[in-house]
Amino acid sequence: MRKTVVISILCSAIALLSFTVKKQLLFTIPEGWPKPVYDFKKNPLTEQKIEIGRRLFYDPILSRDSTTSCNSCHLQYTAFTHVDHRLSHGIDNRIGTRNSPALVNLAWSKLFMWDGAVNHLDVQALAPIANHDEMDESLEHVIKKLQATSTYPALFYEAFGDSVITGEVVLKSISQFMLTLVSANAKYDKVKRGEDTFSVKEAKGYALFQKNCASCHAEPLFTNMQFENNGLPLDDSLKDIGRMKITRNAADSLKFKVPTLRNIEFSQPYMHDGRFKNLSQVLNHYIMGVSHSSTLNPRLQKGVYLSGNEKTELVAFLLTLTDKEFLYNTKFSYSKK
Amino acid sequence: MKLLLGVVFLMLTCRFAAGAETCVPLRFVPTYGGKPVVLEQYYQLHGGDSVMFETFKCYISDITFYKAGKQVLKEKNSYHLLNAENEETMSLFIHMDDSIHYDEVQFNMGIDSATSTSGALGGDLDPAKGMFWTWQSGYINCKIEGRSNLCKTRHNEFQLHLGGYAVPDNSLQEVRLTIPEGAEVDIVIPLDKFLSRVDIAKQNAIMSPGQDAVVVARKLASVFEVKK
Ligand code: HEC
Ligand code: HEC
Repeated sequence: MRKTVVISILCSAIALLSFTVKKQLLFTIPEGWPKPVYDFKKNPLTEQKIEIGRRLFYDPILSRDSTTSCNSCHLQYTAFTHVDHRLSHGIDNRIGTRNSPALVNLAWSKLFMWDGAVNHLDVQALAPIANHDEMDESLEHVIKKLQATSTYPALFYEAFGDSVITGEVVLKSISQFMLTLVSANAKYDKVKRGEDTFSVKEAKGYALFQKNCASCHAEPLFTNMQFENNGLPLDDSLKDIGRMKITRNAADSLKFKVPTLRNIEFSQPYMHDGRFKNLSQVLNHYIMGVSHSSTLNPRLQKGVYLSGNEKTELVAFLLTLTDKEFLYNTKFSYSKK
Repeated sequence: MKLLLGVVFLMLTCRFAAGAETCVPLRFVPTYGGKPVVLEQYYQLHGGDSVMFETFKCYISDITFYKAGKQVLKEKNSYHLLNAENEETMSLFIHMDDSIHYDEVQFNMGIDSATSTSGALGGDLDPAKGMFWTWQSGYINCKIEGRSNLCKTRHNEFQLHLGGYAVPDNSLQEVRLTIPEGAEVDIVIPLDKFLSRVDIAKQNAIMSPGQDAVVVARKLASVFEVKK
């Protein structure tokens, strides 16, 4: 009797241990980072579910004519953004109205899109699927198509215990994959963990960053998750008022979600409308292009002053946010399975 | 499949209420001129104009029963999508202990803000039901679509997508009605009365949260009544 108890305790301890080890592999909070916003209890990660999400992310079946996948606008090597296009290109070569943002560390984000129109990561995918300029499909129809494939019903059965595909499981799977897109191993992180050191130039750049930029691009996520007006003059052809479009509150006019700067080296073009091609243009904006309006953030009302040398130093620091391990992690690439 | 049908059947009737349990059927009936609305059939409006309904979908949530002003039952996980295209969705069966007495029922027309910000949910709340806005998150609490010569729009269509959960554009409406105990309750939604309170010549395309949606939702909620 006692023996069996001991054995069963041992077994459950081992099971528990392997379970926690497995969990750690699927998602870990990097040291010193805040708690994620995403409620993992409502959608616990499993390898199978992440794998379905990954397949869906790369599968053009999500678009009306099977030409466009999430990956069309969110490429891994550019931190899951759309390189070289100011405004995203979608189905039938139609051009959207905004630049696709990088997809990193989404578990820490509360609101999505440049204006916060989407209130939860799970329902994010609905927007591109239904958008006339992006994938031009409906979730109802996507489900019918997935159900008719030879592969997906079995995968869903394995992952969710039911081969009947629903909107809920499709969306939760896509979330699972996106939640794993954690970038926390750039040189910056290694320096913070004491595994590396900044060069003199980088260190000077870091100080300049903390003084001029960190109030909005707050460490360690390099965004304070707020909506701010950083002084971009309104583009007359797009007339994008940002957050105010959603809240219809004049105090939110021209405010956009503060983007992360992680992997910024590879996520050009920059800003919600992709107006800047490189980091030098971005810095020039902060130094001399800031447009004053009633909602301009107080930090930028004071002005940003950087000499030519300081600009180089600041860029040198920004490049330490490049996380090659993330950009080339095969777990995030197209699934060859 | 047979099994599935069996389950549906079970949900459709109260007959299987077990032991000391009883079950209260609430039937929702959109009406016009005192008769149940038939979708895609034209009805007369005042002054020779006409109207037809193609879609009537509405969320009913948080069903609560009262006796003498005191709450006696709150349905758990209470989210139901009524869809006039599908008769069986129009009746809800609330199970309760038969010792419970009630004289009022209360429910929300729509989905509360906490649920609206909880990500992908299942059952009637599944975004694949076409009642979740894609480009700006949130449920469409009620969807009424149809045609009327009063609407100077493409094909004379009107589309009332009443939603919005965030203050100040929260369009969720509370409805509280006195009901008889121990009988099937028909809750009628006289759409003729609703249209007499809304000017569809002007308000015929509500597709996003805002004060228009709030005002029209309030008007819709105001016509719900118990059939005598
Ligand atoms: C045609 C290009 C295109 C396609 C296809 C596309 N996206 Fe996007 N994505 C964008 C653009 C543009 C934005 C920003 C839109 C806005 O702010 O209004 C965006 C924003 C996002 C965001 C918000 C990120 C943040 O931090 O706020 C996520 C997450 C996302 N997309 C995931 C997906 C997924 C998942 C898919 C596939 C189902 C997908 N995208 C398909 C262009 C695209
Ligand atoms: C007042 C808050 C604020 C401050 C201070 C600030 N930024 Fe920004 N930054 C933003 C916002 C908001 C955006 C997005 C604006 C948009 O697209 O409309 C942005 C965008 C950027 C982008 C483009 C990111 C992308 O993915 O497109 C870069 C690069 C950037 N900032 C760098 C900096 C640097 C470097 C500094 C310091 C010199 C700085 N920012 C200071 C708020 C701020």
